[in-house]
Order: sequence, then C-alpha cells, then structure tokens
Amino acid sequence: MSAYTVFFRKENVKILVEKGTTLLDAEIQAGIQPDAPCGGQGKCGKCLVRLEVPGETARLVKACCTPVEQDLCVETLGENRKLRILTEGFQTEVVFSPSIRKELVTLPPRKHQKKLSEWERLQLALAEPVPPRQQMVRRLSELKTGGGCELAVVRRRDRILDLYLSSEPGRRLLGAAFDIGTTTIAAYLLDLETGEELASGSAVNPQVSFGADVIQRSNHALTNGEEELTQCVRREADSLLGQLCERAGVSRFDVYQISMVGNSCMHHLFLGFSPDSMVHAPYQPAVREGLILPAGECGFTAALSAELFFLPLIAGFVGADTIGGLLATGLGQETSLSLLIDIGTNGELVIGNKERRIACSTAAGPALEGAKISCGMRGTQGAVEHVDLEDGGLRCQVIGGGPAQGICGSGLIDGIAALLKLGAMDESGKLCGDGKVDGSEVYWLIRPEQGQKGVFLSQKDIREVQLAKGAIAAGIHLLAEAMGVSLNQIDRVYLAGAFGTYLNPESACAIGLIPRECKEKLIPVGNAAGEGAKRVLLQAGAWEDAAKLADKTEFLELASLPQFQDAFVDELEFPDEEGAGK
Amino acid sequence: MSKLAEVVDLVERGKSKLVGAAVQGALDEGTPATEILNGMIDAMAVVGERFKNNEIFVPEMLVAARAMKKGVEVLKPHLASGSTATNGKVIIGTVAGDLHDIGKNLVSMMIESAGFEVTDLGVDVAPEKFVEAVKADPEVKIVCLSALLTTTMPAMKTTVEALSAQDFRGSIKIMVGGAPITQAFADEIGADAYTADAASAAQKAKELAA
Repeated sequence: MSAYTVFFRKENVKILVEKGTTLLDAEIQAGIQPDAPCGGQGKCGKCLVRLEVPGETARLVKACCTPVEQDLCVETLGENRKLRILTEGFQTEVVFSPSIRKELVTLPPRKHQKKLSEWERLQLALAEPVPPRQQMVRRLSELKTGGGCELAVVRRRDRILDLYLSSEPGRRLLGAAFDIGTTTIAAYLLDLETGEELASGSAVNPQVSFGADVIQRSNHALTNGEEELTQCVRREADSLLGQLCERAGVSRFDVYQISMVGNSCMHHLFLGFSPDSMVHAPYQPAVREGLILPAGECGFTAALSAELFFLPLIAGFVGADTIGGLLATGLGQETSLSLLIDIGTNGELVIGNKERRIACSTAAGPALEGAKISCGMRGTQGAVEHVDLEDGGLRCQVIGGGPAQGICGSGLIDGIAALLKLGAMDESGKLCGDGKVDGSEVYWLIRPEQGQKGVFLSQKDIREVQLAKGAIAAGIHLLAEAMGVSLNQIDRVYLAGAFGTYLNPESACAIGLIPRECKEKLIPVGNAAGEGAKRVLLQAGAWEDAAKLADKTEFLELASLPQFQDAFVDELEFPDEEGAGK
Repeated sequence: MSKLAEVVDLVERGKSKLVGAAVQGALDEGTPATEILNGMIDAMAVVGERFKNNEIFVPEMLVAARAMKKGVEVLKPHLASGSTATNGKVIIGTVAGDLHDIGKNLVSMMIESAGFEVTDLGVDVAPEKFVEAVKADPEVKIVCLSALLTTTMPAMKTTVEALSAQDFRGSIKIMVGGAPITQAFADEIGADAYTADAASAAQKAKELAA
C-alpha cells in the first residue's frame, strides 16, 4: 500500500497516511480535531480546507470527501478554537464534607509481646479496622515506620488510598470534577482540604471529529467499535487534568478523586460500553447505576489509588449530566415545584420536587447551538450573541467585539424574537426578508460590507428553530401534564448550560421556547452538570443522593406518547405579539 | 371566496383551528363531500410540491397536514365508505428499534391523499410484522419503510430482506425513506424506490401502483 505525506501548514504538522485516506481522517490522525458535524458524510460542508497541489491553483474541498492520492499541502480554515464555555456554575449552599479525608496518625511502637502485623499497627493507630489492600500494604512496609512516626493516611471511608510520612513536604489532597459534553469537556480542580476551587478549564471533545451529535457518534461506535472514541476522549480529559494541575502549581499525583458526569452516550463512550442498546428502541443504557472505578484504568494519570466516580444515569437519553443538574439545583430536595431545562443538542427536562420527579429528553437538534443554521456557529469569538431592537433597527452584540463571523444560539433566539417584533416574520414563521442569498429570501442582521461577510437569517433557519423550540416547548407541556400540574404552579425554572446563561429570557418567551407563565421564574444556573460533579467531591452524601435521584426519577418517553405530535405541531408556531399565547 | 375555496386556503396555510368550521360551512352550502375532500387533497398536493421545491419546510408541512386531518374528521361521516381509495392498498411503518413517526405520518397522509388505502403499522415494527401484514392482505401493492436514526438503517435492510424472502415479493413494491436514507442505500438493500420527501413519495406510489 502506498503512502503520502500531508503537510498541514497552519499547524506545522506533517504526517504520512495511506493512499485513499480522507483528509478528514488525516486531520484526526494529525491531532488537529477538525469539526465534522455530519460525521464525514459530505453533507454539512463545515470541514472545508484549502488544498494546495503543486502546479495547480489552490481550491476549497470538503476534507471528508477528499481522498489523499498524492503528497499534499493543506491549510485548515478553522478559527483558532477559543470556545466560550461555562466553567462557572450556579452555587447553592454547599456544606463542605468531602468523603476523601487525610488523617495524621502516630503508629504504635513494634512490641515483641503483642505480635502485631504492620497493617494491624496501622489499624490500631486509626482506632478502627480497615481492609488491607495490596498496594497500601506494600506502601506501608516501604515507609519503614518505626514507633512514634507520624503518618498521613488518605482515606475514603474504610478504604485507604495513600500513606506517606507527614513530614513529606508539599503534599496536597485534591479532587477533579469533569463534565463530558458532546461538544465540550469542562473540568474543575478542587482542594479537598479547603473546598477551594484551584483551577477550571475546558477543551473541545475530540470526538467532534466523528460527528456532531450522539447518534453520529453512536453510529461510528457501532460500525467501527467504540475503542477509538473512548481513547480520544480519555486522552483529552487526562490532558485537561494535567493542564489544570500545572496552572494551579500542584502535582497530579495528589489527585485522589475524580467525579464525572456526561450524557448517557458520552458516559458509555468514556467507559468503553457499546451504545448499541441506547440507539435502538426502547433506548435503554447498558448500565444505569453510578460506577466507582480505578482512575488509572480510565486513562488518568493521578494518585496511584485515585478513584473515578461516574454518576448514574436516568435513562438512555437522560444521563449523568442531568443527575448533576438535579444535585446542583437541589430540585430533588425541595418541596416547591421546579423545572430544570438543559438545552444542548438534546434538551433534557426534569419537573418535580422531593416527592416526585419526571424527566424527558426532547430531540431539539443542534439548531440552538448554531448547527444547521446558514450563518450558525458556536459561541466563540465573532459570534453574534445578542440582538436588540434599537430605534426600529437591529443592534448586534458580537463576542469579542470584533467583526461578526456568524451567530450562536442566544443570538439566534434574540434575532428571531426581533424579527417577530419588527413584523418581518409572522407567527407562522413566514419570513418577509430584506434581501436574497443564493436565491433564498433572507433578513440581514448585519449587512455585508468592506470585505466582511455579514450575518443573516433565512427562512430555512427560522424553520429549524421552530422545530427545535417546538420540541422543547412540547416537552415542557407534556411533562407538566404527566405531573398533573399547570405551568403556573411551577415555582422555579432552572436554565442549565451555556445557552441558558446567555439566553435572554424575554426573547425565549417571545418565541415560545419557554412558556410565558415561566418568564419571571427563570434562574440561569450555568454548568449545573459540572456543579453536580463537584458536589460529589465536596459533600460525602452527594454520591448516595445521586443514586437515589437516578432511581426515583421517572422517565417519560415522549416519542411513544400519542399526544406528542399534536403538542409538537401546536408549539411550532410563534406566540402572537401580545404574548397572550395561542 | 366560496366555502370550498376557503377550506382549500385554510389547509394550505395550516389553519387547523378554522378548517373544521369551514368544512361544515361548505357542507351546509351543499358542496358534495367528495368535492371538499378532493379540494383538500389538492391543497396538500400544492403544499407537498412547495416542500419539494424548498419553498416551504417541515413545520409548514406538519401544520398543513394537521389542518387536513381536522378537516377530514368533520368530513368523514359524510363520505361513503371506500369512496376514496382507488389506487390500491399500502402498508407503512417505522422499522424496528426506531420510535420516530412524524415523518412517517406525513408520508402516510400524503399517500392516503393520493388515493390509497393506507394501513399504518406504527413505530418499532419488527420485520415479521411487515411480512404478516402483507400476507394478511393479498391486495397490498406497496410497503413503505421509514427510519430516522442512522443506527436503525440496518433494521431497514433486515426488513427488506425479510420481505424479499417471501413468495409475494414479486407482487409488492418496497419504498424507503427517512432523514438518513439515500438512493444509494435504497439500491444497496434492494428497495424498489426511495424518495426524499412526502410529496415525491405519494407521486412515486402512484407510479409504482399504475
């Protein structure tokens, strides 16, 4: 088999690939993490690269459809990836009571008459029996502890995680929380002796190269095995841990506990389970219970006995991230009625209180994250994030303040609300545009000028948003119905995720994404999923709470409800201007 | 505007709340029920055509389809039974492992509007169920299979295989559709036809049944 060299100019990376490898795969192999929302089917055109073949003019090609047939020089077009991702979460009161503790004990002297094993000496010092573990027995004997020697014992309940001489300088007690999102991995480094957050950060989930949504990823796993997807996300999580530790100036070998949340598909792919049962009706996960695993076996370089706590799932499409949201908002502890809305590629919704909870997942699609929208992009530098009406005209706010490159979810909702208010669109969603692009009617939010491409909304964009918001709004109505409550009875509406934080509540209600009845009750809670993962590190009871929440939250399968289609079609329309609803 | 023209207009614009009263009005004016039905069918054909030409999108298709459904509910008691199906019988369903039915329902409605008697087997339909349904009714001309998830495309293949293993294969046509389906996939699994949208599906069904 012949092989060719592909040189990626911007990244300054040269790799050798087999003949016929697609440029997309070449990018992945080179570690470039290209964006391929459609999973390399040649449909979305987001993987364009500039191809330079000696003796020919450079041309733009879809990386996924272009096999390497000769030595090539390629220029990637992606921006320098600087996503604006939430690492801030909503803070409810946290009583600091970590399950990982460090105890200082003085070992009793070795006595001939007592005939104590080394482990028994340790148990005597701890004043309670702890089961011996091979690694720790070895560590104990290596320490050569004579009598009167002070020992630091790191433990979680009766499990000994580390032993070292208390005189050893610079040792810390650390934990890390991860939220593995379909698009983004968010991580937090915590000091488990003080509860202080030492660092936080995020990275693009490298699985984006295998498709934008969970179905694409699952499909890749079913066709090619999950190994590749598992390895790449584990590598990225471990590298993120390293970065956070470096930034905080601490050693990753002092990280003893890692808690993790993610949607059900990310959960399966991280842990190396096949998503097969989840993507076929009745859409059930391989396992629902929370799992405690050796972190080292899951790709982490951390303390020798560090443990990974992956929170439990509710259902095939309502995952550990939702459990995290419930933990962080306290929805399962309150008597008052709340609604939790987490809008991502799938919208997860939970209604309830401490007595009863019902969860559902709605196929919102990626439109609200900017995918499938003509000028859509993620919430990064250059995205229109807000649109206001000012003196009868539109005013756009761009992330980073520079020229606009496109529009992200929050800007999209604002833009559509503004068109509705301007009368440029009626409640059926019919657009009366002010320009044409490729023959289709569009409305310019920012007109192209001076070499800048401008940002517009097309009729098709509006229809995509209608489908997304219709699915979410229908979900909210059907959950309330299943719970036997009216929307007025809901006391609080927690909006999770980056989208929820930047979303303008006025616009969300104006377009009917969120019912009018809930407008005054909206509470943005940021990355509630990640916040929930942190709780597991900070509060000893949170892990058990998570198990109870997962066990006692009912799941409503919208797709099998006969009234779903009607509710969905009802919610496709936009509310009329007075906001009286339909 | 005559009441009948109003019905047609309301279906085209998807005004499901108003369409029932308009149908009743047309009946009261003495318009024959079949004429009203044909008016609505033509309206759906117009909607389907616009969709095919990318002039309108899924949401408008859905609201128009529902308006039609509301109109038919009012009309039904006035229609002589069996007066609508002239082109033959069709069986439709979403394949095993897939619970999505909105697209399938649209196709079902468009095919029904095109003069077929449609039996809808629902969602998550096992291959054997399709086979049984065809066996139970020798008059079936077309079997339509829908899949929305890329992960359930293999189930579509299995279903086509199960149908093809039967003696009746020569007397039926298999049509496939759904977001991830392509002509290439339809060819690969041995389906007789693929269409990209509901209007084309109805058109294709007519061709296949002719």
